[in-house]
Amino acid sequence: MSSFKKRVPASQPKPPPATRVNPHSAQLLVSTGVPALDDVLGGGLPVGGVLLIEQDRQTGYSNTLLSYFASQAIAAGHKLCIVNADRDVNLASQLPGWAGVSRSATEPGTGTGTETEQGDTSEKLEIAWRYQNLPRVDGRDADAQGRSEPSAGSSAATAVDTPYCEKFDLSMRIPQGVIDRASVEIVDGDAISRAMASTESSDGDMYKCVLDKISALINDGFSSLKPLPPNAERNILRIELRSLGSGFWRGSDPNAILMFLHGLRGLLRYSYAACVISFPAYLYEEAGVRLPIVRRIEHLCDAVIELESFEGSNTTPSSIVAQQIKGEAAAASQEYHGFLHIHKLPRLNSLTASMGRLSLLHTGGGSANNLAFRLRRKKFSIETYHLPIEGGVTERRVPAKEETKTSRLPSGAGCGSTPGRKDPLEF
Amino acid sequence: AFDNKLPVTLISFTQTYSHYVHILRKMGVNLANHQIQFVNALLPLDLSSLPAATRPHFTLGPKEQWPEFLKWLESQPPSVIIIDGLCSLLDQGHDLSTALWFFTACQRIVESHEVSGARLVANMFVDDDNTEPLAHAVIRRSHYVLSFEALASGASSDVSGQLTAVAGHLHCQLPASKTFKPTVLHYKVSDTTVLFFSPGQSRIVL
Repeated sequence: MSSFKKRVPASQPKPPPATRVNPHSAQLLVSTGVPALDDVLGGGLPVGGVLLIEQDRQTGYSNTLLSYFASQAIAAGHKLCIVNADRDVNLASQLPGWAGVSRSATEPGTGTGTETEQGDTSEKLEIAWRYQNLPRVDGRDADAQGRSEPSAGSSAATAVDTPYCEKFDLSMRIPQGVIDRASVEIVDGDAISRAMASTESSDGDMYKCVLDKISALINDGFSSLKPLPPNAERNILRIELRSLGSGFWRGSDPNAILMFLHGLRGLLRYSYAACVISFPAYLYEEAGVRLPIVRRIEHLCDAVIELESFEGSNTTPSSIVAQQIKGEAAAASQEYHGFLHIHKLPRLNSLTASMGRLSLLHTGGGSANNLAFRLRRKKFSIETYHLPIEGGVTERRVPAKEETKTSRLPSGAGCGSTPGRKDPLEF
Repeated sequence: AFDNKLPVTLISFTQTYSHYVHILRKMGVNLANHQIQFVNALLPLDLSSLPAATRPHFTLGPKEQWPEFLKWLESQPPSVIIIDGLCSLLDQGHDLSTALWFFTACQRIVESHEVSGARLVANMFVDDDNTEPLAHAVIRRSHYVLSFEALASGASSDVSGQLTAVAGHLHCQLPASKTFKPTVLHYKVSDTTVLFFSPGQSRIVL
């Protein structure tokens, strides 16, 4: 990596940490936490934009994407707001960690961090001790080795040092101490109910209540319409709306969700905020056909992707088990867990989506590659879908009877054959 | 409109002024040489703190403040009025009659100028349930209807979609109504322009 660092004049405002500018649209981008998804979106999620993730049915792969987004917010030092109307949010058990967070300084009395330190110490002793004093190379810049965990507003975590996208590990979890020090605000069902009770103008509309909450958050230092105090740095607000439109969301109007999304777009356009929404589109179906309101919801978002899991394509849980027993499409399911469909790409400040030019996975247009995702032990990956090998890798290529026939042929019949050994050229 | 040296009034319910400024610059339009006024209808916010280059000339407030907006629009010189996202009025919670009233009010202002070239162009997203009644009502008050759809024959990397141009219900009032023929065109959207061509002629044009 080049050691050249562009000097930014002091008069120019510094860009927020862990952001980059799209050269085609001059749009500020933030990472979703999944590098492949950033590639599909054309470099990342535009600041001021909304990404809609249509959830997979009967599986939870979309929640994994949301957890990556939240972890990236904590890793980058951004402010995070999670709105979840149906259940309590326990970040410590959901968010994947990264290698740097396990080597961070811990607070006294934090059991998780102490155990992590002790585990690292014992691990170091088990590994060759002579390498203990050598710098650890883990594929990133050497400057990041001694970096402590990021904290919001920390002067050490500058825009230059903070990586754009952290390398997360699903087998690790973020220590509770790091989560406590991060700038995270959780709005769950109880908080929404309390806010609705205290506000007379809400009319029992959860959407309006949440929109007011988001507006208050944006006005608290993330609005592009208000100047920054001197010596203050710009930061990014990441908003996560989980299962928007599910049965737990109550609106005063059948089209309350449309009014909410329109108002949300207006707020985000004049803010340093990015929003990811998970939407259970399968709840808005009649006889297998989507209701028209789903298209309206997609139209109100800047980017729309859909996760279609192979398990979720079955109508009942028993059919899932039956399919596994039969082994139908077992080869495909072993490699991939579902398809990723791209319905809409962000086109902020541009007529065309920049994904077609910048993406390695998806070329766009008529020659677009089919994308599939799979959840491995340590990471969630999105790849170009390839059909499995014909016949599969677990099936016999040659039936057993044919093998016995070939073994009866006299040895040494072929050219270059060795008596007593099977001729490799024999066919 | 810019080629004919006509001023443009852009009323947007979907995007900010900076979005259109970036696109127009990429298309080679020098905004200093053209008269364009932007009306922010996305969100009724105080945008006076924005730089002059991206500051809206008017912000459309709640329904009670629409008469004030229409007075301002009427006081402007004759121009091409473009409404981006008329269906967003339904998203904001207004009913069909209110959205249609807004469209008709803008249409009356254009017709009152009686200037050659002054036009009203409105675009909207049409779906099966919510916005189709509004689309039908607007078509009954239109001279031309341009429908942008996905390519009928399937996705293609050379063609972005197809445009169907048909006459609206008021087309018979136009002097050139007998020469117009409904047509289907293909189009390709690029960063700097949009190219229209006859079906099957993409290789010649692109």
